[in-house]
Amino acid sequence: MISEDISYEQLKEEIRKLKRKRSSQANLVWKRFTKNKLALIGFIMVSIIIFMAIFAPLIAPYDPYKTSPLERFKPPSKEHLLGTDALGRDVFSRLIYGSRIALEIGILIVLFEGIIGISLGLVSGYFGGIVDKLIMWLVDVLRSFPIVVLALAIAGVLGQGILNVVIALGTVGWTSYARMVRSKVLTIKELEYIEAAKSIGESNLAIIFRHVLPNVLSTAIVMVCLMMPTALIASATLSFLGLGVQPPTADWGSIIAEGRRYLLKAPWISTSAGFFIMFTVLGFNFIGDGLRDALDPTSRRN
Amino acid sequence: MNKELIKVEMLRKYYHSSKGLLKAVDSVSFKIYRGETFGLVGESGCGKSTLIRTVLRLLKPSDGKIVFDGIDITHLHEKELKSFRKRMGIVFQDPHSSLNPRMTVFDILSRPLKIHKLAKKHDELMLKIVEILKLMGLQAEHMIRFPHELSGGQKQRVAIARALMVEPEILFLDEPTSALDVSVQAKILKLLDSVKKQKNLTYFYISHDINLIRVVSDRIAVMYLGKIVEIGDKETIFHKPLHPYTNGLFKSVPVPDPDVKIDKVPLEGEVPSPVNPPEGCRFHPRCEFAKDICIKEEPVLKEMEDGRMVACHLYQ
Amino acid sequence: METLLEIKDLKVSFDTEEGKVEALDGVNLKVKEGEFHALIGETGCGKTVTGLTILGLLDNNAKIEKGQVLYKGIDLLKLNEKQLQQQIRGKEIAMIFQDPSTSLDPIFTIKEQMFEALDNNSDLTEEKKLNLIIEELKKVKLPDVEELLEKYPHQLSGGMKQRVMIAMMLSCRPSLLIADEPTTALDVSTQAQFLKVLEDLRKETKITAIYITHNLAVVSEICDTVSVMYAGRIVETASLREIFKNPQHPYTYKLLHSVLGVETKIEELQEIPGSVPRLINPPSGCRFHPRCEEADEICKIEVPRMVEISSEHFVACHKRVIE
Repeated sequence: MISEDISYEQLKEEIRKLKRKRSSQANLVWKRFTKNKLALIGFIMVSIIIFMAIFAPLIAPYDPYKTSPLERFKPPSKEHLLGTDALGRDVFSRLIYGSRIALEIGILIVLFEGIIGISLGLVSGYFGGIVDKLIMWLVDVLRSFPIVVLALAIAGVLGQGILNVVIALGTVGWTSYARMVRSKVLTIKELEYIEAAKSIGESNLAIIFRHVLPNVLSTAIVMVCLMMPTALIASATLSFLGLGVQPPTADWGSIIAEGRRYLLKAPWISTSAGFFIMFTVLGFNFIGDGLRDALDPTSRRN
Repeated sequence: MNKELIKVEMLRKYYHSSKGLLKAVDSVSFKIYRGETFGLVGESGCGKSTLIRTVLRLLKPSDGKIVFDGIDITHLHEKELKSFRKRMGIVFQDPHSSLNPRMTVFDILSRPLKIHKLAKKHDELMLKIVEILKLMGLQAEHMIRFPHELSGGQKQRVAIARALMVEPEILFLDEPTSALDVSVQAKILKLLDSVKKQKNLTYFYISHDINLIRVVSDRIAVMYLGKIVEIGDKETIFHKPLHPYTNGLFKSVPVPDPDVKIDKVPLEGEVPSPVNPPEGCRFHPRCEFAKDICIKEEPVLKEMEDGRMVACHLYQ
Repeated sequence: METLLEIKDLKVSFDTEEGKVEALDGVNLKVKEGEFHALIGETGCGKTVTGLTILGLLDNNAKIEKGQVLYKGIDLLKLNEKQLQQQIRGKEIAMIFQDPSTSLDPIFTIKEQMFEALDNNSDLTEEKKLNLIIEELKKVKLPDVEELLEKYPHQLSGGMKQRVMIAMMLSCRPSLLIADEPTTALDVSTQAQFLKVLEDLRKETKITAIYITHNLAVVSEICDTVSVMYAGRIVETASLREIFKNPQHPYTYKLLHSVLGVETKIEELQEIPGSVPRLINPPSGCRFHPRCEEADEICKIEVPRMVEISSEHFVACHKRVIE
């Protein structure tokens, strides 16, 4: 018995009802997000790419790997929307399949650097002291190299292949997350709810997971969306330089590299691949900006 | 009634800053008796927040001794401290920042119970939370709310509930109403007062608001620049403040009555920096009674005839 | 005494995500020359919005629905941004805010900032300006003025910064000062010093002020007239003594009795049931009625008008008007 007028079961039922009725925070964020036109456009752009990646075999008019010597360098036409390349392969089909590789690499890189960066950022910011100094020193060292050059060096040592691209780019990329998370943790650490948690006997681990991490997460999600384009461009660059995904795999970076030799003769190869990259990068950037504004309405004013 | 619950002896908390050693709390001693309300008053930067956090062992003391109910807790490790955390609660100044914005009231209030294994099952938790919410003048349905869905006063009630969840013996109250409007302040003070009587609690209030301390406390300590300058019963200290700082501070408070005005500025000058504070008595540069000895020698807290303690050369 | 500023039936609303907030709903206020007029009320009652409206400093999402702000006979709401900037702000009406550290620019010295304030508003020679600045800084009782001029804001304490702000305002000789919670961020001892400075200035310069605060004790130190605001409306205006000794509106009465005085006992503190209403969808009729013990049917339906119940004592309450 909880009180005179209401039983425990009744209370539970009431609370269930209230919970259903309430518009959650996620709803509010979504509402703000969709109000922002650019964010919505970004969302649609990225959705198109994801749709393409999932249903590539259904959308692509041709087999991306089938060479046809008679069809070489065909300009865009009804049969080949974006023309054909030096081996007579349909460029449009190759680009559609390329979105699979691009998203796969992008997601893997972001996961890899995100997990490392966020955990090290949390530890560095929360504990401070010598641990913090060591981690931040590592960050500074890694960031003092030009990203692509360092990734090139790592890819050179590890060899080619998707996984090595991920490792090469992630090794550098996590530093951005670590820095961002650390500075956020430093502000959160000073808030009184952290002291309050300590005062009731909460352990450090519980404080990090229950109080610090959830409050860093929204910033981290924004960061993921804004880092995705960087990852895409960097992996395309590696492929372009011949250290990433290997031909004949349909990869946007490699397609640009292949088309470069025939830039005057068949400009559609490189330009359409470039357009796909730009399209995806812009899409993620719009989403990232939109999410940032939706999650933190104070930053939007002015 | 007259049993010591907390005894603090020569407590120090120093920080290393770029300009030198910052003596936030310097050789502070006092006792809090079971069942009383002990008020600590001082202006911003006097070290009262650092003091309360050091006594609670949220900060590591630099030197001195903190004794809780006869046990020295100065050097206990976090694990050993856990059982004491259950016996001491704290309510912070700003309820907007003392509640985690991503947790519901239910989550916030169930944590202390889970940490100290006072309830495990969802039903038990819910029962206890409903009970405390009622005691705080809130409703059961508030438990599914997030802090941003509550008013300032309601948030502070949740913060008080969190501190009371584990049935502590003493509540540390760090400016619990200074972020609230006057009418809300009145409600929270009344609530705290009734809870104290109901649960036989001991309160340790700190505030810069002299009227507030005067209304709630039984005994009062006045802090200036890291040091306690005077401790005594509320009545004696207010009717006859001995230390010149206490006197000036009390006279600076505007009275909400058009017939009573502050006649002349009671305290001239500014509080000096706690990095390299003045030699001798820290108050001497602002004190109209300062003598030669005040510049050279630091006065210690000394007991007077009426039982109060003063640290001033005028009375030694 | 002549009326220096008169606000007539001012209505201001804000567009927010959750809906339209009726921040001010028919505010009427008369400030006479030479008086210190207090605007008191709790958070969100509209006292700061009133101050900002006078100077045209409202945010973009604010809308002035109707009303007039007559200053020396000119409607300030009809002036454009350029006119306000050149003729009114600083020169005629100056405003100081709660947090002095955000009003001063951290990268310039006090001297540079004081000069800049003067540049906008006068055409004296450099030497005369410096003398004027030093004179003003001395007036607000700042010690070691020559040294102070070369300092940066972060080297000053809160109380000193607030006094610098006052000196800066005064150097342009405004007729009206709007002070928005100027001592809230200060300690009692610095507050006492600041209030003393204001009082002395008042004797010397005969400046008029609107003093916005929630602190009734401070009001009783330096103000002559008090207007009490509740939920976007002024509910009572009277002389300081009348408000404290003979409060008429139930809200004023409760507010006065929830303030901690010298001899207050916890048991005697008055509570106002409920909480301040949100101004999206405010209560009908008298906005205080849901929390008022005396409220009856008419209070729910009709908005009470400000009525003069005795000389210079105005109150907006159905229960205080004798038919």
